[in-house]
Amino acid sequence: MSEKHEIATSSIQKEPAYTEAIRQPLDTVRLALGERVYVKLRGERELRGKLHGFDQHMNILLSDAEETITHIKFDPVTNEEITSKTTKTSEMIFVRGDLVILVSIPRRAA
Amino acid sequence: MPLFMSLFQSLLMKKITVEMKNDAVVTGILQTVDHHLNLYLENVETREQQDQIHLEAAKFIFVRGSTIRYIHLCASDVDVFVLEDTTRRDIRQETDI
Repeated sequence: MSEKHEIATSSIQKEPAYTEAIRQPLDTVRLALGERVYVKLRGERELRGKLHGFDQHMNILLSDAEETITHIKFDPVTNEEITSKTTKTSEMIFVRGDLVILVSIPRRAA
Repeated sequence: MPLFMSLFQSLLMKKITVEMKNDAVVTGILQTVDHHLNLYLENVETREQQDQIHLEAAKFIFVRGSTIRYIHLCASDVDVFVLEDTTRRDIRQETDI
């Protein structure tokens, strides 16, 4: 098994085009640098903005970001959930990685 | 040096706005940063908010990195092209083992 694995990695190293391919999950995010992305965060928060930087902790830097916070209230009389949304904008925002649930990138970049 | 630590090193003496996980928002001049992204701010101003923890009297604040939600920066303080290149290089180093 280990021999097969070594052969596979050595053939990848010989072919430069492969190094640009998606081999690790974080490569997909790397290819989205400079593109607008959608980030879902803990606490019913979402961000849309242009991705300029990230690291292995998923700390993220976005520009022209729009934050949407969804407030969910439960109405005990009607048994309905009442949702309301507030949006905020920021020209340059750093997001701490421990809040990030997912990053969605444009199909073009993927 | 980690990517975002070096970013914040380049923002020393610049005004930044930190939004914490308890919804407190403080604006101040960044003095020091470490690799946990702990921050030390001076000339702190707090935004008036309902049920906010009272920080009005504080002029110097040390923020533990783990309590940070967002940091709002001035777009002109960040060179996005350098940051994108550094991100590509760092992530490749992390993943190419």
